[in-house]
Amino acid sequence: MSPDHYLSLAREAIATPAGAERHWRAATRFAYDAVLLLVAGAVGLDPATFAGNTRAVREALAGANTADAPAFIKLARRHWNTLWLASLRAERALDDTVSEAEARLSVALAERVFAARAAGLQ
Amino acid sequence: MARLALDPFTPEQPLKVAQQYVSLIHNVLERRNELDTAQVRPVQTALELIANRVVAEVRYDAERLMYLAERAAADGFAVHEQLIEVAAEHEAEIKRLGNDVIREYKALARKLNMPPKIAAVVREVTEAAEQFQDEWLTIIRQMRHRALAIGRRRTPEVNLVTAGELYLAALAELDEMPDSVGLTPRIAGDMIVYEMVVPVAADLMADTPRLAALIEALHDRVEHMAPQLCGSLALRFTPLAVAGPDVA
Repeated sequence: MSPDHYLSLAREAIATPAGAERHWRAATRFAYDAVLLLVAGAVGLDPATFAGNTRAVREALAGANTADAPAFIKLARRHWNTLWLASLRAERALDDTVSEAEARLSVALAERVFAARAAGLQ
Repeated sequence: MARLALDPFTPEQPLKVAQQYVSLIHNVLERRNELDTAQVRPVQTALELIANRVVAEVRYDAERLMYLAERAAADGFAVHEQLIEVAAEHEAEIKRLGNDVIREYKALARKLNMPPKIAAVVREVTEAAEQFQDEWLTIIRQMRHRALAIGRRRTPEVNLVTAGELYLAALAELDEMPDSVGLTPRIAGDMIVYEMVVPVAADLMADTPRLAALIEALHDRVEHMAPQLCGSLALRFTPLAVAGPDVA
């Protein structure tokens, strides 16, 4: 299992025929999870442990030297808070509405981070 | 203004423990002549366990609020006075408990005749109640002192308020300046993250590639002005409400 698989899950959720809000919520969550796991791996933190919890990964990302950081890290920094809050809303705020447009945006932003990572590997 | 205590930290929980201590002292005094002290021990032990757990939780809640206030101050939001308000609420209850309740029972116990074993139990329970009260007070005083220290600290010149202004300026540059933009504090895990809510036209909202490109352009502009602030806010786009037809 790799972070890319979470992005695939997000894409699958968004592409569900006759999709409903539960699919948009799932897509939003998977998009954020994909970025979290990608960044955690890049900064050398294990997200399965306390040392690699959300806060630790976020702090490590914020502390990364912007000038020298790979492009995907810069993009992850840009979109982290946006994806994180969208994911928390999707996961917990059942009274709040999560629209298809918001879910598509989360997936698109996560895709940009992954595309930058893929470009950096070539 | 950001509300710090989004999860309220009220004196309710420690107060319940204090009430249980008072109730135990009351019962022991009331049944002092026929009470078997062996019956009191398990209650005392159980209460001690509950008190220890509640002190740990009070400490955790206070630490969490102090941490949030520190972060909010660093982000440019002066919310330390909310900590002082919370501390005052707790201190009022602690003072009432110490001065009006425990002291009264101690005075009463001195006046009553009771077997030495019962007197020893009353003393032990009263000491445990006072120790609980002291630990609670120590945490709350620490919170007030920290709030005062945060209040004396200089707010950094470049902070999230600046970030909000930069993102607004970037929106204006990109001709997407909405009529109203909100900066809302949100609890994210154990942190506060500020979210800028931007209403946009429905056609832009539905066009994901165009919206994603707009977001990148916003970040580009902010990164150019202040790289450390880029991405410091969460952005949320919502469809602009369309005015309905006038009904005569």
